Amino acid sequence: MRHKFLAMRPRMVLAICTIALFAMNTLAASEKTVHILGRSSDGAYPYYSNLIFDAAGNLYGMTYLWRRSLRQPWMRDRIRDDTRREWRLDGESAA
Amino acid sequence: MTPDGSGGWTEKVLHNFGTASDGRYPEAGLIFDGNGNLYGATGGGGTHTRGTVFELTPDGSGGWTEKVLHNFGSGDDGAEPNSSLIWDNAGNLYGATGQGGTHGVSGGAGTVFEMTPNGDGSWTEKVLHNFGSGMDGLNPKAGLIFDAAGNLYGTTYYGGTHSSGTVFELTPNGDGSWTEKVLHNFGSGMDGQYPWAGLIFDAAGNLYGTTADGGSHGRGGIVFEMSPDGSGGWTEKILHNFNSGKDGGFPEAGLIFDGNGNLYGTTGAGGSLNWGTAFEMTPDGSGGWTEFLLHNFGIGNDGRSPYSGLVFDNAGHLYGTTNAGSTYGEGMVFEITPD
Repeated sequence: MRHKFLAMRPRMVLAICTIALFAMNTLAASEKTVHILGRSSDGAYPYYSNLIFDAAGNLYGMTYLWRRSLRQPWMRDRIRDDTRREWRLDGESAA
Repeated sequence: MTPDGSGGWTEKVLHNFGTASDGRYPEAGLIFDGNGNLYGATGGGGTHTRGTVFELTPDGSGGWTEKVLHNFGSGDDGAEPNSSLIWDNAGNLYGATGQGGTHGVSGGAGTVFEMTPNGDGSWTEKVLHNFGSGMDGLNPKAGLIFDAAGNLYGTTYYGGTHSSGTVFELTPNGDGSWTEKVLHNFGSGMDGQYPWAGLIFDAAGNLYGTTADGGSHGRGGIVFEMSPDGSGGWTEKILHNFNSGKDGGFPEAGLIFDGNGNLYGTTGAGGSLNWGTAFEMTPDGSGGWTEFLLHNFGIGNDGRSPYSGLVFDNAGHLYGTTNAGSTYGEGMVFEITPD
C-alpha cells in the first residue's frame, strides 16, 4: 500500500511544500496610523528620519520635502527612483 | 507630533527648510541637547548647496527658530551629510558626510566630522577622517555611535576590500587627530552587502546592524552582530538572512533593543505585499536568533516602504515612518502595538 503522502496529487504535494517553505513566524501586533503626511502645508517623504520623543511624550522627526506646490518634476522623478523600484522583489511598480 | 489626549496625535510644522540659503532635503533624524534644542543635518542647501548642520531653538511662544551652524561644501570639509548626529560628553557634535573630503572621485568619498561650539554662538567644523584612501570604505550613509572609551563606530555603504561596504572604528590619538580601522569588510561569499544603517551596542560590547543587500539568498540583506575577538579584531556573525522576500528584504534602517534583549527593525521591501515589514529578532538561547514579523506594510491605505527605524514609547508601543503609501502616497507616521 502506498503511503498516503505519496498518493497525493503532485500539485497538492507541491502546494504543501511551498506553504511549509514560506510559512513565516509572526507575532500578534496591531498597526495604527498616527499621521498621514503629504497634505498641502505638510511635509512629505520622511526617508531615514528616525523619530525621537521629548520628555513630555511628543514625537519629532523630519521630512525630505514640504508643501506639495513647491515640488518640481525633477524632484518627483528623484523620489520615484528612490523608492527602490529595482529592489522590489516581484516586479510590481513602486509608488 | 503631540498626543491630543483622546488617542490621536496633532502635527505641528516647526520649520520649513529651503528658503534662501537655508538647508534643504533632510534625510536623517534629530537629536536634543540638554536644554531642549534640536539638532540635525540637511543633505542639500546651505550657502554652498552641499548641506548644513542646524539648530532649532524654541522661541518661548510656541515657535522655533533655526540657525545654521555649518554650511558644507567649502573646500574639503565634506558634503551631503545625510547622517544623524551624536553628542560626546564635552558637548561636541559628530556626524558623517556621504560625499566630499579629500579623496575619491565624483564628488569625494565622504568624511567623519566634528562640530565644536566656540562659546560665542558659532561652531567650528573639523574633518576627523577622509574616506577613500585605499580600502578604508566609501560613502557613509548613517550616523555614528561612541563606545565607553570614546571611540567612534560606523558603517560605509561602499568600499572596503570587496567594494560592498565596511564597519569602521575611529580612535582619538590624543593630539586632536583620529585613526580609522576597518573592523569588517562586507561582501565575501554569502556575507551581507551595502550597510545603509548605523550600529548599536549591547551591554556586552557587541555591535549590531543591518545590510541592505547580500546574504545567503543572494539579495535581501542581513542582520549581523560584530563581536570583539579579544585580540584587537572583530568577528561578524549573521543573525538572519532575509529570505524569499516574505520575511522582509532590503533593510535600510538600524536596529533597537527592548529591555529583554530582543532586536527590532524595519525592511523597506518584502513582506506579504512586498511593501516592507516591521520585525522582531529574538535570541533562541542557543546562539541563534529567530525573526518574527510584526507587521506587513501596504494593505489598503497603509504606508509603504519604511526606510526609518523604530522607537519605543514608555508603554512599549513602537513608532516609525514610511516613505511612501498612505492617503497621499507620501508617507505616514505609524504606531505598532504588540497584542
